[in-house]
Amino acid sequence: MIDDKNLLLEIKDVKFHYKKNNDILTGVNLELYQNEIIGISGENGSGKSTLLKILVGLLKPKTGSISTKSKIGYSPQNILLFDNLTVAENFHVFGRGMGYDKKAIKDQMYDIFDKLNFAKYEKVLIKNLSGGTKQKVNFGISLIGDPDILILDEPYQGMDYASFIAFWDIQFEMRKLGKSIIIVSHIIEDQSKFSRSLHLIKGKLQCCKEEDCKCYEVKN
Amino acid sequence: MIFRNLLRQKSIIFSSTILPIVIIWATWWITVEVPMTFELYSGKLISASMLDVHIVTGAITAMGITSAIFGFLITVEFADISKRLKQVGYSYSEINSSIFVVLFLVLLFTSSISVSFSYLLTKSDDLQGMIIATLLISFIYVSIGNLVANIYPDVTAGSLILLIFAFMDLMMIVNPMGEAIYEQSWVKFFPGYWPTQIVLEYGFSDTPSGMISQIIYSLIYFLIIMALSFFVKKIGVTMEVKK
Repeated sequence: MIDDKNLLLEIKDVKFHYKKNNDILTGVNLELYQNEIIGISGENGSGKSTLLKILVGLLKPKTGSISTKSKIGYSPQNILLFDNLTVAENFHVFGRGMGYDKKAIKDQMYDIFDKLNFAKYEKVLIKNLSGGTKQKVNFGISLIGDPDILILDEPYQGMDYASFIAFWDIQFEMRKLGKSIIIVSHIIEDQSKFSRSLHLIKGKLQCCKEEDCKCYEVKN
Repeated sequence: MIFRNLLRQKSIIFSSTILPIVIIWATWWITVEVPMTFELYSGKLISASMLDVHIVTGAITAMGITSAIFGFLITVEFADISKRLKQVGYSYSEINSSIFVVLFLVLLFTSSISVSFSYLLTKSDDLQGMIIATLLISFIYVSIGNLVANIYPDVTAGSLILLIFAFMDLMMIVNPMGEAIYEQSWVKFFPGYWPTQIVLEYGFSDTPSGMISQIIYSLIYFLIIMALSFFVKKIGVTMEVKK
């Protein structure tokens, strides 16, 4: 149970494997507090996306626990949208899943459109959008419901520079409001934007310090 | 919305309208009108025109292939997006039932095209058996498509496996000509056997019988494949597909 009201998410000794004797996560620990932006990096196949899927409940950890009382928004690495529906229809489908009525979805949708500057694509089918715009919609969907924690898996692949800046403005704005973000990113420039930069090495989250070039396992 | 998403796909319109017509038309085109004799499961010996027999079995084949491909593609297409829908709050039962309703509506439309078109070309005046058989074969082959998608979700390979299997089952093995050649008890275990028996019994026998038991056998087959599919999904034996 989370008692500390600044603590939004607690991960304790999470282990996971797809195949037996081939553990991808060997004991992940993490505490996410309000106003934090945590960046996670790691080699390809190190289990970053798997960890995020576990955090949002798409996969169950084999052992360990995840505690949160916060509302989570999730933007997956692959664009998961209905290709033959328009941008607005996609917002409608996902918004309905969260329990919002038509009007509430519309209000939130226009707000997100303004922030990410894609109002002109409202009635365009997803399959007719460019890769970057699809990525924006993919990310935009995760903002429905004003989540407390945003979990983003390489969210700005293919975005243009203006959208990239807009993306970070939203993150900083959310942080000011006491919300937190966990983001998988390989972009070196992003490191300065993170409150903490963690690396997934050998199935564990590690914090690497520049001073002695050593990584230390994150323990709660 | 899921229905709208499907309706906007040209491949759906193609496969649900043109594919059955092409298969039935091709069957009609290449078959000569000569008499043939075959034996039904009920033991009745039937003499009928080969053309008529092949048109009704062609309709079953068309529905089998279309249903298998639909069941397969929709399962593959929705595999990942279902997870995101689940994450935002939909339950799996809501997601699966809406996919099922959409599939049912599309296949109902396809069945009506197959039945109407084959009815135009054949002298068989039985509609009841034809409608029931096409619906049963649709259910069975949708579940087979779903099973293949859960085991091997590769679009090209999976579609080919289903095409080959459906053709072998419906055009060769349970076809009255094939069955006469391979008069073996194992043909009863093929998915197309019982629906084909219904369409032949009611299309060509003067005293049709055994409809209820044949429907029950078909539904048992459907339920076994669905259970198998569910089991495969649960234990996660999905084969890795290189992309």
